[in-house]
Amino acid sequence: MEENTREIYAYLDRLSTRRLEEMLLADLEDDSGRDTSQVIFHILEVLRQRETTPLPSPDTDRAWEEFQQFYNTPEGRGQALYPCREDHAPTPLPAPKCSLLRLPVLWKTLRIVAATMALLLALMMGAQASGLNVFGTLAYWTDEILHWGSEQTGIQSKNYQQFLNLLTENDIQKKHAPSWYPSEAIAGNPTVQYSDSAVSIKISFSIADSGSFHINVVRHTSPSELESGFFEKDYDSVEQYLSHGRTFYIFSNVNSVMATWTDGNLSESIWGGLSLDDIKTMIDSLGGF
Amino acid sequence: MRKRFLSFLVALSLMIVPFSSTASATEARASTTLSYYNITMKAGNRPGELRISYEVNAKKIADSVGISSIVLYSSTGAYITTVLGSEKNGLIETDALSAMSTYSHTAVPGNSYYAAITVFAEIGDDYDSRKIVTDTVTAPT
Repeated sequence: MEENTREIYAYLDRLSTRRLEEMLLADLEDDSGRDTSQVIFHILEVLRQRETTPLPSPDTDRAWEEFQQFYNTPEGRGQALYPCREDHAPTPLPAPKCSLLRLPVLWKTLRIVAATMALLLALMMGAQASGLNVFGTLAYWTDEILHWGSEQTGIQSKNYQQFLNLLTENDIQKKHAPSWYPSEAIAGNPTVQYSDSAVSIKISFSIADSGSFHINVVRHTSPSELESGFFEKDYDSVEQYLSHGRTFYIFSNVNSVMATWTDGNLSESIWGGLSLDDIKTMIDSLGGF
Repeated sequence: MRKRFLSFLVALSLMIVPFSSTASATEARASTTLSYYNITMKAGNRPGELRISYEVNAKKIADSVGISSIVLYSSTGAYITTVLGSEKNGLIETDALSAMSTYSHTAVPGNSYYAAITVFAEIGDDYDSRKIVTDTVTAPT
């Protein structure tokens, strides 16, 4: 049986090493499921034998005699010892035909991609027009900054939440912070400042067309510290606005409105480019947390 | 009767005019850059220490805001020294809405002082300042 197997695969000995390697590669790429294990085994055996079999050492003396006798003759003078390379240049393979058959597929793919993108853009614009701030999730900007990502609007914005946290960290209840502010306002980073007299937590907001406004909540060491404070105001009268048990004093200071309240230990001020209605709405939202 | 009435009118006008000038002197001032300021000076814990606490708020984010100068006087009005505000000594903040902190100055222990403090805010080309005079404080011994 073993003798028969050797005879069956004896032809492999006559194939070149390169050809055997090509057969191995073809078998790796063949996923037809045929059992080629025997063939592979014998190919590997042939290659192993060739690697271990030492090549015969060249007989240089004999080679020199043959050269003098057969090649270095007057008849062979001027002729090349071996055929010139261009005479035996391999026949170039025919250039592959332009895959004209694939162009329709490419065009079809491009059309599908273009149609998909156009549809997505139309949906985004439709959503934007209906009120959803789709483009705002990509970037938002004011006159002073551009920021990647979603707008920080509303009391759920990270900066405003940080402002609320700073209040509690400094023993100020969140109810002293407005639970509403204009939705188009973008909250900046809150700050906390200290002096011997007080601790102040401030946050500023920017609005695209009307500038900015600010909130300042201060905890004083004693009510007497308030007596040395001064608000700038213009000639317009001061309005006393009562909301949730707090009397806010609302007045203007040259194109800027100010609303301020104190209970002796705490004081709060809201000022900037706000309408009177908006500032009153913010005041009314106190206690919402 | 007529003379008494005229005398009454003159006396009445003399009484009204001073009050009206006083009222005009207390009319509100507006500021293009400043919104609020609060300055106090108190004795510190170390000998001779005077502590000046301040909060200066601009109307909006300012190019610079804070205290431009502190001029110290003895209780008798004699000039003592001037401290100019800077970012280095913390009296001035730049690109900020507010400057707030407490500044410490060492004076002669046991002597009494008051300070004339100038607060300011600069926003673009607009600049405004106010001068506040503190109460007299005795530096601790």
